[in-house]
Amino acid sequence: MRALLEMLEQRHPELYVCLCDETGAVRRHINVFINTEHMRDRAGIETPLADGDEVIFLPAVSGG
Amino acid sequence: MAQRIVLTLGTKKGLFVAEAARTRNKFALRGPFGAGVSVYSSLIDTRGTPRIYASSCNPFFGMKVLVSTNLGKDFRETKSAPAFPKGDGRALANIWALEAGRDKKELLCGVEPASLFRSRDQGDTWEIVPGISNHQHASQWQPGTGGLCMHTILRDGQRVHLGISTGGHYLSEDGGETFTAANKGVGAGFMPDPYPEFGQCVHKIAGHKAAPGRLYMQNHGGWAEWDGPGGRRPNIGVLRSDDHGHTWRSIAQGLPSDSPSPSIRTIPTSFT
Repeated sequence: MRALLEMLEQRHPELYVCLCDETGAVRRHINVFINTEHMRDRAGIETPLADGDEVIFLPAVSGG
Repeated sequence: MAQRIVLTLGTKKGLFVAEAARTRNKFALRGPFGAGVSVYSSLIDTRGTPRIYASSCNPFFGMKVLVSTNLGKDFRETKSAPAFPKGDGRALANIWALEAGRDKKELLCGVEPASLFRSRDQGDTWEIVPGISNHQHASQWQPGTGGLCMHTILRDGQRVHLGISTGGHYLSEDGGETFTAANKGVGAGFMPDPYPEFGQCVHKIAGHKAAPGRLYMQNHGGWAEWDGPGGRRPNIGVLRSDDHGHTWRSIAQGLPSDSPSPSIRTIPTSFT
């Protein structure tokens, strides 16, 4: 995951700043799923990715 | 061209621009711009061709600075927003203040966590101002209920006044390069020392256009009466300075209670 985010920062900086802050942390209200599992339930940003994995960035939605 | 009155209104739903003829009989409202995203600060910059700036504070996707070059008919994002340098460890949480700088293209921006940024190209690129952002006091500032925010920037020639909650009032007399805590007379009733050098919960500072050197402050942390432990505590936090913010005195007599809200409405308008 870390390498994927670094690649995003290099290739798509405008998208990257929407997903991560200056410290490299994924923004508080952005959920990252690797296939169907939340990144935090794996090894967070150190989660290894395998060929064919699908990574989903999903902003949380709240309110009435 | 007929004179027009233009107001900017920052809200939780975005930025609105109200425009009226000089008679102010009827305002036309445009917006929201940056719809659905809180706007904590806006600036009508009348140096040269007027430009309107606004902070767009998105808790999901981060902070942006919006700019309009046609008096608020439409807005675009500047090329970048303030950001802490890599390795600094701090992350931008909010943009609380925008102010015109010394030079025509210079802007100042106060953020949370309390830090100051400067742009020299009308908001397209930003640099941190270490004289306050990395001040030796900075690690001891504490967040108030609204966060650790630099909410007020007042520029008066070479002087720059900053309001930080909770850090207090800081003054630069070299154009905004270096800053000194200037809180003599400003209370902090929630601290063991009720008149510390810094750490006050300053909420707002405003200048008086017609009286050079006069400033007004709303400061949180005082009581009208106090009979509890520790003896007499600071008075309600409405203060005035007549020496460019070096010293302050209470003008709270007659006011009913301390106000936790970050505003003061009986003060003259800020410097322009």
